[in-house]
Amino acid sequence: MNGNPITEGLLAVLDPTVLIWIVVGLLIGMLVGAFPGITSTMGVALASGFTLTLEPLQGLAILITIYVGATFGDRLPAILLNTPGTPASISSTFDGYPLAKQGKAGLALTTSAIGTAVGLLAGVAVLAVAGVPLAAFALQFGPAELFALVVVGITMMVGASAGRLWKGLAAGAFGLLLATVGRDPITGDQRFTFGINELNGGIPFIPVIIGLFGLAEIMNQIIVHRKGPTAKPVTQLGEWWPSKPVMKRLRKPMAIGVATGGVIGLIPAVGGDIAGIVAWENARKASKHPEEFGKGSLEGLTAGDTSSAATLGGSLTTTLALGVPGDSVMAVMIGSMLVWGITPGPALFSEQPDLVASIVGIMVIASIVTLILSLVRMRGVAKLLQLPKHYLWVIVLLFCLGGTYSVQSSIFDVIMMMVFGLIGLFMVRFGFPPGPAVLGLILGPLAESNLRRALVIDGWATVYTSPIAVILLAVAVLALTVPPVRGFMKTRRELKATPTVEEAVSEQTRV
Amino acid sequence: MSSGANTRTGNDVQQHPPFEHQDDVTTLITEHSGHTRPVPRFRDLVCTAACLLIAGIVLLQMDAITDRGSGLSALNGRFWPTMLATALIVTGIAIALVALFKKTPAVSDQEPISVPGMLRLTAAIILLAAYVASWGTIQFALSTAVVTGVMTYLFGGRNLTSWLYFPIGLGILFHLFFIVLLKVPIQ
Repeated sequence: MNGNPITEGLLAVLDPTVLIWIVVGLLIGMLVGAFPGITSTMGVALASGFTLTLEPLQGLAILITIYVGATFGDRLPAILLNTPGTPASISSTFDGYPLAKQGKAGLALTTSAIGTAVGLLAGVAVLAVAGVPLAAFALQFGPAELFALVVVGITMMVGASAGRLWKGLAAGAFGLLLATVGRDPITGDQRFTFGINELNGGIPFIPVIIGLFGLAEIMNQIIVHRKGPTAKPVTQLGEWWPSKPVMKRLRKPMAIGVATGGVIGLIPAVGGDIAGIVAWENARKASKHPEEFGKGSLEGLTAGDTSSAATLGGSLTTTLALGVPGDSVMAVMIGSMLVWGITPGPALFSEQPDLVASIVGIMVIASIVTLILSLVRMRGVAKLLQLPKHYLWVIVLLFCLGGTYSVQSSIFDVIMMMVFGLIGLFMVRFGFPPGPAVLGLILGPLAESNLRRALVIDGWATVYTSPIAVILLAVAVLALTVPPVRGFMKTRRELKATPTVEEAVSEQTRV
Repeated sequence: MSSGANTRTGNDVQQHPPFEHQDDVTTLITEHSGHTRPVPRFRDLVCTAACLLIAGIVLLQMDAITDRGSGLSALNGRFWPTMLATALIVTGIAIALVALFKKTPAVSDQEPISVPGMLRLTAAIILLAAYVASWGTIQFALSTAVVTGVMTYLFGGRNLTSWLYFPIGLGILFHLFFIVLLKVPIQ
């Protein structure tokens, strides 16, 4: 007898093996977040190697909970060291570190953890509410619209790396070109395999992801390393629990954080870093005590942390409902899902609603368990901040190799990972964002096959006569043009505000 | 009254004005690495060269693709790669033009490379290659422990924990994780 898929999906999460992997993922994620220089993307990329040997739900449980755990863990160095564990906790440094210096580190850590949990649960609500209608709308998409959707995804990620527009576009084109290696998606002919049999099936995702996000980042840290004093974290944690009046005062910034993060999370490629800072500013404007912001305001800390956590649900929504990654972590996760035979996109909600329910269940359990772990174990994890870098580097480097090999026991994959590590190092050093390249590799076949199908139907008219495709492509153009135009306008305003030499001389003479 | 944010740059604490646009936010995120510095214009010409090189390889390999249509018809397997190679050439040229004609020099948020760092990285890559080559010939836990010890020393670990206890612990952990738990045929 078939039960309700939603219930089945939620019950599947309660399987003991899945629960164990949730806890393992959370612990790994908290460590990933706590160590500056190890990003969530890197953590998920490294884990994607060994999780592919697990059942899809177990593997997804680890990947999602690493992300959730890192969202909690990255607040720790931000508050105690004034160094964000991942970019998503930049806003935590604004008020977290001043609070820690005032002897209120414990209070800052606790309120930050509560705000993060609230943000994550609000994000889950966004997924539960917006996921189904968004997927239902996207089900109407034909080849032209799907092609336009991929273009939007890549341009959003390029636009998010403002100031590097052309390099972002080049990285996206490079990723799309990588995706052409292997079989032609329409005719099945071999392309760009250079006589290497292992490339017949295309460039494998996981080695590329681990190389670009894991190996390259560590190699970059090694290559610039200099001996010098290391920053010492604040160790006096002080008061731990916020009083009832304080908690009451934090409701408003939490609401601002939820609203800001929920909306920003739905925009593909815009992550928790931007959401946290925008919410911090919104909360400052709405606060009765804006003068405290930046000097140790619990309101500012809570708004930023709630917002950056709330983006996670929005990112998952666009990833699962549209098949377009909400951020770089989701891009990595899509790579793993495709290997498991799970294709994120509109059809996922109708064909595998139980899986979507399981993901919601994992998020809820992970948020609650991590909140408890954060409140109980923060004191212990704080000691890890002083762990020397050389331990981390060795662990990550060897995990890159072992994790890549464990995917399909292939030395070729390991070689590919090392090659892409070097390519990634080049990209980092020369200012190419790796996100669009990975997105291009993952979404390339979707883009090519849909564009070619659309063109076969009625040439380019198929694209420009579709209102949805035209709107999506217009959004893509705006994503690319708005940031540089704004930058240009800002520079002009600043230049106008600066007095010319003649004006300065005349003012001097007048005085 | 200033209500800006304090963020870390090195060991200093700096004040930021309130944010107006996403550009301000992005600038802040870039600044947060604490190492913004101008970079020579020729660096971007290297990027252009890289774009043109990749596009060139793609275009040179185009003849190897079966031509099932005429010209650039959508059914032709050459259509999409040609489009992308062209896009790469255009973006490569745009990068060069921006680098050459931009009034203010480009700014990098990356710390400069150090010579010892470069040497360490080269040695680490050689060690990693040797480690992979050792799989199947030397017991996995043993090779992991040895390479861990050497690399930890290379990266600056000088105490007993760094080159003895940590390598042994990591070797055992990797054996348990990859071979016992995940059953990866690595030895």
